[in-house]
This record gives sequence, C-alpha cells and structure tokens, in this order.
Amino acid sequence: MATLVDDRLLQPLARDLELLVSQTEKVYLRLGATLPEIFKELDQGLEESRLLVSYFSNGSGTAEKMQAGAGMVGNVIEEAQKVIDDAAVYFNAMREADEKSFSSINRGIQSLSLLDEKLHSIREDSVEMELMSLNAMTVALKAGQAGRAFSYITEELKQLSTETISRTELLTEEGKQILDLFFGFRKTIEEIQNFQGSFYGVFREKLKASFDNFMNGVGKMTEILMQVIDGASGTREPLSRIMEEIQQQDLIKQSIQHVMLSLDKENFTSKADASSIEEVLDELSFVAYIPDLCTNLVDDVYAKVEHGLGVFRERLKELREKMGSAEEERAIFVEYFAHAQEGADDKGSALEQMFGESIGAMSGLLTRVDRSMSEKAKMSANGRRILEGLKALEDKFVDFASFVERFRTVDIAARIELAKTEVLKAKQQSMGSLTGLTRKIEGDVKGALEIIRETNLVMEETIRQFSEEVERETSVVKDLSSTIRESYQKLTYAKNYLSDSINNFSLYSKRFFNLLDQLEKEVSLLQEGLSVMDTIRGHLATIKACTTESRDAALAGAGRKEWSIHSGRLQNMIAKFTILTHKQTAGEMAGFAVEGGSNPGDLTLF
Amino acid sequence: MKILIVDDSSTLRASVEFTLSQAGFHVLQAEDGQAGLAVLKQNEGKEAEIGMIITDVNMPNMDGMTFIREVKKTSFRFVPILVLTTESQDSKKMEGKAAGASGWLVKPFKPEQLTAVISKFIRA
Repeated sequence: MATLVDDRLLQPLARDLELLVSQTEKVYLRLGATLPEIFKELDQGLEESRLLVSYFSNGSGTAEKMQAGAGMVGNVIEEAQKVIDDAAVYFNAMREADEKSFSSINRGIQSLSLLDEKLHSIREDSVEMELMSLNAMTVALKAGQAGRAFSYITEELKQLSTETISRTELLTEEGKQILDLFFGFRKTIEEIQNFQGSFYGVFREKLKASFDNFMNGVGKMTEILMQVIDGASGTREPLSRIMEEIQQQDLIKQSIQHVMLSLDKENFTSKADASSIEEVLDELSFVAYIPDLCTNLVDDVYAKVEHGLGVFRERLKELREKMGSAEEERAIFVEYFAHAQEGADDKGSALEQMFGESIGAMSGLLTRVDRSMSEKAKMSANGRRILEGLKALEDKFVDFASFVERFRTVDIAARIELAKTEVLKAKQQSMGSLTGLTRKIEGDVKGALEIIRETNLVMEETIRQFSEEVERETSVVKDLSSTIRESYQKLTYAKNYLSDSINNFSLYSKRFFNLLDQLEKEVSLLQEGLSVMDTIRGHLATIKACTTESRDAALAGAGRKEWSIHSGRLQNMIAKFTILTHKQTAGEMAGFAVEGGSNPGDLTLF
Repeated sequence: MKILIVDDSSTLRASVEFTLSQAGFHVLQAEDGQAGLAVLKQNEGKEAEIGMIITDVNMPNMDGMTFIREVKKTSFRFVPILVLTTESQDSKKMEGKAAGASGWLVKPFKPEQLTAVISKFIRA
C-alpha cells in the first residue's frame, strides 16, 4: 500500500511528540512529588511556630523539646506564684512570732526598769545608813570606854553601808548594761520587723503584679506571633493553586495522545481504490485535514502548558511575596522581643524587660530573706549573751542579798549594846530608825532579786523560744529560699529558652526554601516544552503543505474546488478521543456534528 | 475514612490525594482497574473503612467501566463510585450509570468541588 506522506516527515514529528510527552510529564510529575513535600515542610514549620506559641501561653504543647527543662512559661509562672504564696504565708507567721518576741522583750525591759528603781532606793537607804552609822560612831566616841563596843558595831555598820552603796552602784551599772543590751535587742527586732514589713508585706503583691505584667506581655507576644503565623499560613493558598494546576498534565498527555492518534501511520497509508476518483479525493482530503486538526490540538496543548507556566510563575511570585511579608513580620517580632530597643534605657529587649521585673523581684526577695535570717542569727547569739548577763546579775543579787543580811546581825548587836550600856540608852530611839532602814534595804534587795529572777525566767523562755524559732525559721527559710531559687532559675531558664527560641524562630525551614528553589527550576523547564511545540508546529506545517498539494492536485484533476470527507475513517479516529472539546473541534473542522456532553468541572449525580 | 483513587495519571492521583488528605481522608491509590481491584482485595473485611472509590475511565490493563462492573461483583458493591474523567459525552455517562457509578465529574476539578462531592456521599 502506498504511503501518502513521506516517513521522513512523520518520524521527526513522532520523536518530538514523544519528547514533548516525556518533558511535560517529567516536569509535572516532579511538581506533583515536590509539592506535597513543600506542604509537609510548610505545615511542620507552622506547627513548630504554634508550639512556640503554646510554650508562651501555657498551652498543651507536646513537643519534647518544649517540655524539657523549665517546661511551659505559664507553668513556670504558676509554680513561682505558688512558691511565693507559700512563702508569704510563712513570712507572715514569722512576723507574728517576731511580734511575740518583741512584746516579751518589752516585758523584760519593764522588769529591769523596776530593778533600777529598787537599786536606786537601796542606794539612797544605804547612804542614809552610812550617815546614821557616822552619827552612831560619834555617840560611841563620846561615850568613851563605855561606848567602845558600840563603836566597833557602828564601824562595821559604816563599812556595810559603804560596801552596799558600792555594790548598788556596781549592780546599777551592770543592770544598765543589760538594759542597754535589751534595748539593742529590741531595736534590732524592731528594725528586722520594719525591714521585713517593708518587703514581706508587699512582695507578694509586687511579684503578682510583675507576673501579671509578664503574662500580659506573653499574651501580646502570642497575639503578634499568631498574626505572623496566620500571615505565613497564607502561603498555602498559592501552593494549593499550583497543586490544582498540575492535574492538567493528565489532559496535556491525553491531548498529545490525540495528536499521536491522528498521526498514526495507518492514517497515511492509502486504502483507496485508485480507480475511484471519489475514494482518492476522500482519502487525500482526510490526510490533508489531519495536519490542521493536529495543529489545532497542539495549539490547545500549547495554551494549556503556557497557562500552566503562567499559573506556576504567578503563584510562585505570589508565594515569594507572601513569604517575604511573613518574614518581614517575623523579623519585626524577633527584633522587638529578642533584641534591645533604642532608647530603652539599657533595659534590654521587650522579653528581657518582661522577665526582668519578675526575676528582679524574686532576686530581691531572696537577698532580703538572706539578710533577715543573718540578722536573726546574730540576734540569737546576742540573746544568749543577755541571758548570761542576767544570770550573772542574779548571782550577784543572791550574793548581795546574803551580804545585806549582815545588817540584821549588826542591828541586833547594836540594840543589845545600847540596851546594856546606860550612857547609850538615850540613843535607843534613833536605833529604831536604823532597824527600819536595815529591814527596808534587805526587803528591797530581796525585791530586786525577785525582779531579776522573774526577768530571768521570762527572758530565758523568750530567748530560748526566739532561738528555737530562728533555728526553725532558718531551716524552713533555707528550704523556701531553695524553692524560690529553683523557681527563679526556672524563670531565668524559661527566659533564656524563649529568647533563643525567638531568635531562632523561623516560619520556613531551610529544606522548604531548597524545595521551593527546586520547584522554580522545574517550572522553568516547561518553557522547553513550548519550544518543542513550536518545532512540532513547523513539522505539521510541512506535512500540511505536502498533503494539501496532493489533495489540491487531485481536486484539480477531478475538476473540483472542494471535497467533503465522506468515509468513516475520520469519525472512527475522533471517536477514540477522550476529550469532548477535541471531538467537537474535529467535528466542526470536518463539518459534522458530535454528540453533546458536559463541560470540564461539571458534576452529574446518578 | 479511606478513599480509593484509580487513575493512570500519577499527577492526577497526587492532586486528588492532596485535596482529600487536606479534608481529612486517607487516600489509597491504584494506577488502573486491575490494581484498583487488588487494593480492594487487600481491604476485604474492612469494607466500612472505604468510604468512596474515584476512578478514571481510560486506563491501560482495565478501563474504568470494567473496573466499576467488577467492583459491583465484590463485597465493596455498596461503596459509592465517582467517575473522574475527561470524558463527558452523555452516552459515556449513561454507560457509567449503567455500570453502577454514583456520580460523574469532568476533569479538571476544583479542590473545593471534589470535597463537596465527596461530602455528599460520606463524612471524614
């Protein structure tokens, strides 16, 4: 059978069509494989960003790295708040205990003030006693030999009085010293109370306010970050449109197959009876029709590829713009929260400032607690010294009481001597005053001893309780400080972690950028497909020239100007087309009707 | 819920998979009717898990119409079948209906359109 078109024309065309199929298929297949990876990478980046947000806002992030170390910032704050609340309760209890000690010390001071009164009275009585003894000595001297014995007694009385005055002065001095120690002790308690009061009373509110400020800051950060992430989520849209477009490859492939089907060798093999001019004209008209149909189909493929290329480029441009905008917002976010701002008084970044207030308040609390406890430990030691002083004073008073008992002996001896010595009998009345004074001194000394004993008892109990309280507080505060310190460290860790996270915060991974670059390169390869189609058009034009010439020659030979294709070859060929628009185009070109149907995207439910 | 897509075009399958996975479906893939039947065979006993089958018409080895008719002979016969093809002639659609298809969507599709169609039959 004769070949109606030279194989040398058909073969390069077939090769280029194969090339077109393989080129477009390769590009679209790569796009189809790369795009899901890009989406995966994008979603992962956004998911990590959202996890960062949940880390800020005490969400329920699950990423291991977020849970490591300090845990969620919100949890750290909540934990710190609880620690502070516990500390506040304990510090209040400490203040109450200190107030109790303070009033006990005041009682001790009051007691010691009474002691001072007693000593003052003893001293005055002793001075009077001394005067009386001098008078008695004068009387004894005047009595001569008869008053000799009385003279010894009055001498003894004078010595006792002088010694009493001396001891009273000494005890007064020592009492004053102890009283000073008490005053010092009370002053220190007062200072500690004021010191603690100025801080313990307000630290809870201060810290709560700083935590609230911090959480408000975090809320703001979260809001901004969510806006950045939402902006970045917008990059899905152009990617989705690209993904939607890649299904066109199926239509492109089918369209090229229609061209290949039309250029099937069988269509260019003569089957007509050469003796029948009608059959020859019909066949040559069919063959001449094929290049036009194919050109039309190639134009459709060209339009599809060109449209695809346009969509890809346009969407990639849109994608890059959206990414650029999201990245810009991200950079502003990082700059604001993680980097120090100009004119921020060297307070560092917004994040540093947010944390700084809380961290500073906690650090201040720890410093004050340490100082307070150190002062109390010193006081505890001072308290022991006061007790030792009081004990020594008591011993001296016991000794003093025993000493003043000698007045009574002297008084008795004096009265006996006066009674038996006639010349001294007149003095018996004045000796009555001596006896009263002796008893008064003795009573006052005993009273003073009682005071000192009572003071000693009260103070011993107070200082013992205070020392025990300090010991207990030291232990509890040590644990409390350790917990606060731990909380403080967690807060610092959380701050550093947040700072690092924000600094390293990126919406798009490196792989995402690499895949995108790869996608752009692949898209540009479609341009080559357009060049191949230009070549295919050239081949078709040559074939058209050749087939048209044969057909026109046959028409001229038959004396005809045109010929309508009558055979079923064309319909049979078109029936194999799988795209309705191609069938319709072919029908329109050949002048026959094609069965109707739906448009692309039409849905029919049965 | 799983959806089986049977199409010889891998880019089309990728598009469908992307669209449906975004809507929360798990997508099974097969490149022609024969492979589609093999996938169904592997899932025997789990008929309730396959919510829908989407198939092309023109495929090598076993075309879409034959595939639909074969599916109707299996335990998956009650699973709705959507034909997704470039073919759109009324006669072809009638052929699909006769074979047992539940719907016919002409390529190319819009993602939102495909998910809307799927949601008419099943929920993710």
